[in-house]
Amino acid sequence: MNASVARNINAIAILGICGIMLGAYYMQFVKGEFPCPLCLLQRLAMLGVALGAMMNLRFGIHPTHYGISILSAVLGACISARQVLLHINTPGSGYGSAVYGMHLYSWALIVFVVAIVLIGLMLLSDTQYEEYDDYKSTKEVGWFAALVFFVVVLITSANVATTCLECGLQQCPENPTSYKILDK
Amino acid sequence: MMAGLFLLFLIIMLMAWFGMRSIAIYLFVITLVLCTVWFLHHATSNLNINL
Repeated sequence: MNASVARNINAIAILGICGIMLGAYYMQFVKGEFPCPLCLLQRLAMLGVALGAMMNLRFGIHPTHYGISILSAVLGACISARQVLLHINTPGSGYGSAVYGMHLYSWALIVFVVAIVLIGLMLLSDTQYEEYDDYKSTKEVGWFAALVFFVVVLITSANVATTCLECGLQQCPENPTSYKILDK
Repeated sequence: MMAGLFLLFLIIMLMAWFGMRSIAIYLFVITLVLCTVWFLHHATSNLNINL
């Protein structure tokens, strides 16, 4: 696998994460389900996975960038596994509504585990690193990579705003039912 | 706090875009530790499982 293919795979992975984040927004704003603190932490971990891939696009493919994604995915898997274990033994007690038979945190656990496996597979390819000896300086990015970057930054900015609306600058409630800032 | 973590991620992404790779990585590590601390802070409910 050469660097160009690896970059395209990273860009597609970022778009996949953007799709998941938009799905979470659909549940929040269309279905009216407020994200709990653990749900928000899973979103952060998703953004961490995307961050590693974004750095691969910006600075060239490097194991350090994959490391960022793996660490985020491991944290995300721990958080979602904890939430799955909270509800696993009490049927019908899950947080939020199910999507295709599973709650969002169950899907998140699958996504994080798949991400770890896929990144492991990506790391197996040595040839993707050869074009980038100087991985500390920025590289020319095409319109597709720039667009992907813009979308992730936009989604992250939206999360800053909506989390601020929901929790304010305090601790988020365990079972949020309204936007704290709008209640005042 | 949670909004602050998202804000940190936004700053890291912008730093990465503007070429500040090392600082972005250090800030990422700090943010990851903060996320872990905040996760442990919220993970207080007892699990209803027997191993």
